[in-house]
Amino acid sequence: MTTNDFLNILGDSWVGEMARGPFWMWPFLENIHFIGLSALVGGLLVIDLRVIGIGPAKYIPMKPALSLIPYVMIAFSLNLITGIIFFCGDPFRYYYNTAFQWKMALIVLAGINALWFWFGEHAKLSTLADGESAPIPAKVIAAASLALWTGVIILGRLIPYLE
Amino acid sequence: MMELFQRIEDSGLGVYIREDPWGFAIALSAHAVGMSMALGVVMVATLRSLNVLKQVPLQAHANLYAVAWAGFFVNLISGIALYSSHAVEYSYQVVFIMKLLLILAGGILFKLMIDSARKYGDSAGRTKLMGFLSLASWLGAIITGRLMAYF
Repeated sequence: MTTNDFLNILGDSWVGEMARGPFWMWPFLENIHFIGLSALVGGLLVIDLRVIGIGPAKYIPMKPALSLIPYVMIAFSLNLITGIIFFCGDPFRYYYNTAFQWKMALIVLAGINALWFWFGEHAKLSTLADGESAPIPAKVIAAASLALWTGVIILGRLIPYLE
Repeated sequence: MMELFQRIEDSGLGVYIREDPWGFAIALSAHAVGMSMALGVVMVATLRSLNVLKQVPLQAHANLYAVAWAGFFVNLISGIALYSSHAVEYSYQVVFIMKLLLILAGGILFKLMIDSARKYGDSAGRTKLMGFLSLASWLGAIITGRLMAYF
């Protein structure tokens, strides 16, 4: 089976047909995708800016900040699901789109970065006192997280422009 | 009024954003990044008032209000650029006017939520109500903004 056969199967699937279904479906999914992206970034801003410790953000208590991780995961899941539906709705357009390819690469990097945070730094961070500085590797991960997700948003927005 | 909108559209900024191959795309990208900053903070704070993300006190989110403001100004500037490129069309677009009103309402209600939290507590009835209405207004602003491409 070639890649194009696979893309055809996705496009012909019920998910693809649903995405191209009633006229309101695409804008409805886009709205969920935009709300999900705002929620994702909101949670990350609390966690990452606390870890980086820029300005007043270092006074956010660390443990409560880390409690937003499930919220971030829910927001990401919303966008993963709506994203998969978009992809099935128009698979050839996305698969061969430069901005989309880079967006996916950055999401994979952001995912690896998040795993590194979870397994390497999370336990150490949860014992930090209020206002206490996080270890340098954790700060680097947090800064990378914000940079990568900003890139993801920009590349997503450029999909119609960077074919 | 029509003449004024036409003049905005014919301005250097309007022509640049509309006709440069990257003008509109760059302004839109900035608008999405600014949205995520402002709305991201608004969502965690208003959801706190609704007892959804209750481990983080509203007072802690106050440390991020500068980030929300930064996102708001990114969007004010990129929004003016986007508006100038199609000023005539947008000025008469119902969803665009609704979007502006929802942003205004969302901002005022957010301030009322903060004031109420300070006076009566993070999950007092009044704080919850203002938080809920602010969140609804801001989500409405996202939705009407996105729908500008369709209506």
